[in-house]
Amino acid sequence: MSPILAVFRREFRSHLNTVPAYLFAAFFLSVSAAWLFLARGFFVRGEASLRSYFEVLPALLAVLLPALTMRSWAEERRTGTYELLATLPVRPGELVAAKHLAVLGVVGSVLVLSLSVPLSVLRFGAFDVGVLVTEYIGTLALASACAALGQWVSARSRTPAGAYLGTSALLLALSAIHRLPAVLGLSGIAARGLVWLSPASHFESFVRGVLDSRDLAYFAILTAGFLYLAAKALVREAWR
Amino acid sequence: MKETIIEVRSLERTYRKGPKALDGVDLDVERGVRFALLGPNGAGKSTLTRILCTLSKADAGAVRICGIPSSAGSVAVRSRIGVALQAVQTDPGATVRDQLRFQGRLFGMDARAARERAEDLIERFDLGEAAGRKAGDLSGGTKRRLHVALALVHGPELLFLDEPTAGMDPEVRALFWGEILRRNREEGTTIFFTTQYLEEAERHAESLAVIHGGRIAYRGTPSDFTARYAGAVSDGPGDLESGYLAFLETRRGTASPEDRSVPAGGKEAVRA
Repeated sequence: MSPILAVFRREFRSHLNTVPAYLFAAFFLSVSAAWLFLARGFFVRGEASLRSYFEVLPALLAVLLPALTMRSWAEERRTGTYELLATLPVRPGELVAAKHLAVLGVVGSVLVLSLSVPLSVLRFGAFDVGVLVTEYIGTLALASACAALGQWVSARSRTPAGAYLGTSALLLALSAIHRLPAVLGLSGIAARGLVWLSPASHFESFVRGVLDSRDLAYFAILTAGFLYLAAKALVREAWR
Repeated sequence: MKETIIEVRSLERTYRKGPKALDGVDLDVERGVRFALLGPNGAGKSTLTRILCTLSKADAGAVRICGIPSSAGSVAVRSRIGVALQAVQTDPGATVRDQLRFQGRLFGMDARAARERAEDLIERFDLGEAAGRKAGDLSGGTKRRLHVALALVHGPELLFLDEPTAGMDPEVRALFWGEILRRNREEGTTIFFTTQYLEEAERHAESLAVIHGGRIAYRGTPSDFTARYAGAVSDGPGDLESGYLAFLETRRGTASPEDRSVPAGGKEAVRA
């Protein structure tokens, strides 16, 4: 068994034995459903689209996902268990990758549970299944980037609470950054740059049912970049 | 001539805003020996041990472990050594048995081999009663036994033990050393340990080094060390502890910087 798979299994099981994973699932499923049916009046509007369901996910993930990533490294540091991991023949990058996959495993499981929402309304209209699949791909890509950022913050934080607050603040800021040009009256390359930087603007394409390789590349780069930074932060600390 | 398993040349390490923790350390340890590294607090013992375990970087110098050039994070070296450091904590939420199995999987064992190895170590380190308990609920001495058992899961050629018996009662210490000595004798595992219990070094080490001021100040056997230093303060043959205290007194009182640059045991003493 590869070290990545061994650590992934341990981490995934560990998530299933702790409260944050269940809080994440409960709030994610209930808030997103309440948003669709109550706040956005799905049945009143009479549209065969779940766009409004997915539109709320960047903000929801910004608040909820840090609960899954906050313990990744800050907890290992708090309890002193990182030194044990550091003595194993496993590269920091492999440890980071395994923990990332475990978080994605939890998110993926919750997304499977969330299928109950589209499945319950499919009979009320002619929904485009292709769009729905694209929306789910986009959600997983967005969650992957958010989780990677969360790992980086956790790798640099002293406590899980600090990691949660730091990750959440950064994700909320990133999610709102595409609105800055309108607020500040910016235009031209600066405005386009800020819009491009925001995960929300890339996620929007998926919500519209457009599977654009540039958006996929954006989330892949963000994920790889933050995982790399997390591994670097661990190396810097371990070899101090 | 025996093969050298630890080879250290001109090793230096300075912490930011601090003095030199290591100031040109040279050291050879032969394969299969039980080696004790002694020294007062702040002498560089932990820094040297961490660098040898690939957990810290050196500023200058070279290290070879098991014949492999070693650097911080070297996976090739880590797969051949076992490490049980004093400050390390095991996962408080996982049971003793699960941690031993997980460690086996991380070293590439299949599920069955990892399970068998875990049960073997549970028996050898008398962890049977604790096997189903979470590490967070264990006493300090039991945690230390678990640390050492974890370090032995993959059958390392070289075992680093940092203050291994701290917190163990005499009975458990005897059991612990019995297993370590058996491993050294039957499997040829090289044992590198640090300790503040000098009677342990005297009884179990075949070879020792004393680090002082970031340099190897003595290198030889425990009996030679005792004979050299204990005689000055005792009418009888003395023991390692009295010799060690006399040695420290000598270093504090009379050693000049020039004296410190040459190992007290002479050049022949640098190599065991």
